[in-house]
Amino acid sequence: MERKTLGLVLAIVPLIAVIGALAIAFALTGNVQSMVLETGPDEAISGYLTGFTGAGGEMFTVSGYSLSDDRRTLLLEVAVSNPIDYPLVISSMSYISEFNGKTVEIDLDKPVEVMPESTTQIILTGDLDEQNLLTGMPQMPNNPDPSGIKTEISFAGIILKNSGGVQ
Amino acid sequence: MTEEQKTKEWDFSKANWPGVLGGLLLIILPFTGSWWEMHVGTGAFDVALSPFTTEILMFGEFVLSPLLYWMNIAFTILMLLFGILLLTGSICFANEKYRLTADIIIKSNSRKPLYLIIVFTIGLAIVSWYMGQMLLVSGFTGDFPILMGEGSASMASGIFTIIVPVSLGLSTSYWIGLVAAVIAIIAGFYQMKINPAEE
Repeated sequence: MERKTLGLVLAIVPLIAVIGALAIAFALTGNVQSMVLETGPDEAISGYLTGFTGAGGEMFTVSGYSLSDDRRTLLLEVAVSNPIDYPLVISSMSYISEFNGKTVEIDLDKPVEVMPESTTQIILTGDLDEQNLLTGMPQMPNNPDPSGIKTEISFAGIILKNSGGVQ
Repeated sequence: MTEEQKTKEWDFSKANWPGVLGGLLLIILPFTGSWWEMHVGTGAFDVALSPFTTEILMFGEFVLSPLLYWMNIAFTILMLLFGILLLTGSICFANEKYRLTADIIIKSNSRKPLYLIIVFTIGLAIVSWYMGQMLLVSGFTGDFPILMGEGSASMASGIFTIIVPVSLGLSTSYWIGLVAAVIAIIAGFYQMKINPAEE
């Protein structure tokens, strides 16, 4: 093979390979969007986020307060609904109540997983001192407002934070 | 020594040894794994890419990109071809009979791996920039790294503030590829030095 011909062949082969790959991918899918990626990550993430936005505050249903058997721990039961088809991890959750000039923070002890499209009951706990127990407990609302919940939820490493507020 | 004897004789001291090393590295390069990884969250969107392999996982499920799949096949074949030709050319230069062809092959193939790495790196920079733009268009704000680094994008949606952590990074395989390409370039320069008449 002549020097020029060999050089030309070696230069053209990569071009043919790349153009061939492009042509095969296009021929098999029929359009550029499908050829690159059928669904973009932004669309997939947005789909899940829409699920959360739609659920809004209804994700949390708060039951009334109760006391532990030894009457030293305040308990608050919260039902958390997972509106999406992917497991959620509740990393932290707290509820702050202020009464009788004292603030009681009720927290989640350890992370909880909520399975896809299901509801899980979780219990927040807060230590009470003698004064809170005697004077504050009767003033606690029977139906605490769910908007007071401060939480950090994650799914697939995407974090959702809700600041809540003092009730 | 007759002319016939001379053409049958191999003088390996005249082989292009940087080319032999570069050729071997180029041959193993397609099998060293991904060169670049992108993680959005932990499992929301994971991409592991090289010119020879693509792995895309979206919420735990594999996603196929036909374009990247066929490009990977093309680049694997090409890189094996570059490697085999560089290796063969570098060895065959030790025999005067094949010297002319070997010289063309070495000089023709020594720069192509570096071109591939440059194009791939530019492509990655464009892809990571484009991903950042897609998040901005979706209403997120924040820093999205280009090529390598960590950042996060956030957005207020309903009662939540959503934070999407992102990390991008080049793997060891990328640097192996760069070293292989530089050795191939050195083989090209070495070839010009040992056989300047054919330049």
